[in-house]
Amino acid sequence: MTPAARWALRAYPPSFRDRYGGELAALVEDLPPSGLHTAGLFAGAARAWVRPAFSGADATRGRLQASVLTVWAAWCAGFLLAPAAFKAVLDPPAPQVDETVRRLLDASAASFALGCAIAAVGGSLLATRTMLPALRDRRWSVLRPLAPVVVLGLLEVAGLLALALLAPTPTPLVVVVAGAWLVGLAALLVSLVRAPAVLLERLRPDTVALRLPAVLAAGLALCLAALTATSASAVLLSGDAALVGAFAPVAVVVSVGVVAALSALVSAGRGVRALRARTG
Amino acid sequence: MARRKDEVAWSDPALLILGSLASGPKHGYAIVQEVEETTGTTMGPGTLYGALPRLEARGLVRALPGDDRRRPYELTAEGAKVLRARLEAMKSFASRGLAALAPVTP
Repeated sequence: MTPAARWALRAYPPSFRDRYGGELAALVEDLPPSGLHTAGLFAGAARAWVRPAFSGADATRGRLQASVLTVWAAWCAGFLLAPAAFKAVLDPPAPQVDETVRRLLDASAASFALGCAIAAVGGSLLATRTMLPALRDRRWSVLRPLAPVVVLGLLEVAGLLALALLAPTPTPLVVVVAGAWLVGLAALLVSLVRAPAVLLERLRPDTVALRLPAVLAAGLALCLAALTATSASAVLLSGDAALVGAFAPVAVVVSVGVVAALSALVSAGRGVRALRARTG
Repeated sequence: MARRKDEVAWSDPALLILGSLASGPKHGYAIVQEVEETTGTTMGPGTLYGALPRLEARGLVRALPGDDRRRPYELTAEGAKVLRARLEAMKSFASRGLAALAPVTP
């Protein structure tokens, strides 16, 4: 198997690799190496992320777990749109920022706060139902995927304190620390997405344990959609006040937010349909 | 990717997989081989495992017990019904097309 084919197989979602990974790898090994086959594998991996198929006795559990993780990943990718919109529109406040824009920003802040609360409740529920039993059994290794989150979180807090102390005097050191802090933030977000994915793959909570988190994930997806719609509208209505001199970063953040919100809504909808099919 | 060099293709991966399983249970490599031998279509692993999970989720094929790396699949009753309906439609289309073509064929 070529290294590219191996990378393509790793690009499939965990739920797919869990069920079909072994047989797909065996088939790739049996066939002669081909660039077209490898390209087809990458395309298949992208399809499997966008339209996953779940079958067998584990279908509902797999669907709910995928929905919870996708919505969480989308939230991590999109929730920063709210503070970014505040920064773009109100720092410094422009004279053309009217009452409508301020109300949209208030709605964005409310969606942000509600989403954080839902994420905290859902995360606590999952931790209680999956991690606590494992820790009672002294399986300390389940904590390992959380180590990067803790380390990066502490570094980010330290970086924020350093910036608060250094910020009054803009020096090259402040620019370096701010750049490092942003890189650290990106790494923290990636580890926040990866840690629960690894944990749920290892602990394999059952359908009952995933039911309420899946419903909460639907609420989180709605909060992200509201946050994205209000933040993007506030930025667009502010026009030059938000976009002059910062068009590219604002456009990137808004685009990421829109894609994240749509992904979250689609995935949460599939999770809720799976729940209704099971109970109905 | 399912590839055939014809200008007008009929190589829908789901149909090719169902057609291959009509002659009995097969694992991935055997499906690829049979599709290539009977239709001249090269079905890549990404295409096969893009369609197979969907067919399994819809209950048209089922996995049989076996080695995790060589798991055979078989057609279900529902899968056989869907394949028969599709082949009948294709047969009717082919008959009509050939009949209409006959007078203009030199």
